[in-house]
Amino acid sequence: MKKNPILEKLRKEVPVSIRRDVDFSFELVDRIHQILVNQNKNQRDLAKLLGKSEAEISKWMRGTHNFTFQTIHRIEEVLGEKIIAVTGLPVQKNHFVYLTAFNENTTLTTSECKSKKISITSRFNTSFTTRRKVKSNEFIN
Amino acid sequence: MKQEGEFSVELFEEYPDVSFYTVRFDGDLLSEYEKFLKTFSSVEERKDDLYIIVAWMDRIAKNGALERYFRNESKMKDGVGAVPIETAELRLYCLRITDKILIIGNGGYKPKTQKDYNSIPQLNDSVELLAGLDCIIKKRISNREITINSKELVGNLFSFEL
Repeated sequence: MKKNPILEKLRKEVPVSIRRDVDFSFELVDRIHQILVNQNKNQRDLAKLLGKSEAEISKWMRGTHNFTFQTIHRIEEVLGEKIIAVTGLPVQKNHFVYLTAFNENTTLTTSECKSKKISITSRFNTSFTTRRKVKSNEFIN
Repeated sequence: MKQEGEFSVELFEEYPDVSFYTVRFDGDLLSEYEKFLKTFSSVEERKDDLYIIVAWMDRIAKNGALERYFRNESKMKDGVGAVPIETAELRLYCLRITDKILIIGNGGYKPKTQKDYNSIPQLNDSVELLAGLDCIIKKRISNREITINSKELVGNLFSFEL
């Protein structure tokens, strides 16, 4: 696969914090998009539900918007689904715990986690960066 | 200053599901996207903006050049979009051909005090170049000089002139 040397050099300079912010923004809007698709809704519907203009929602959904907690909570409220959740709280059995913005397709059950040798303890004690490296295993049941 | 003359479209980088192309004027050592990267990597106060753009483009390389990620920039109904970095004052312009093919052009500094790109020659020229290219590519696709094969542009990618 062709790579450009100028861009490759720059890639190495990108601070982890910037890459993490951008990746998280994408995960967040992709999650919102996924909920909209699952509910047969589009950005126009979301705009109506939130009392916002379609242009505003379109701006949010480009992967670089800095969402406030209030906005995220409002979106969760009108769509009736969780977008993000706090990690590290006591785990309830049969309750999904989301370690970051998530994708339903990456759901793993406890037995699947065990078969992949992912320990619950290590997942909860790892640093943010480490946790992101195991993104596809970020769900437990 | 607006660059004139013939140019070609060339593959810039390739990923499993997406290809990035760029534009190179005949006789130039650097492509338009390379000029953008080179210029702003040497400007300390623009570096963070540039890093955001690089990280954003890497996500596009993974997710695809989906329409919803881009901000439509040109007046015409074409595929010219800007990398939509809300907090940044750097603008990079692209031409979406499909979800799998993106042509990356040049861009520049747009102070927050300026509302539109039109009043800044460097930005206006970058948008016009891609808008013109969009027109020519569509013509070449319609007369089969260029075909789209998944993530690949195949055919006559040379001798473009606005």
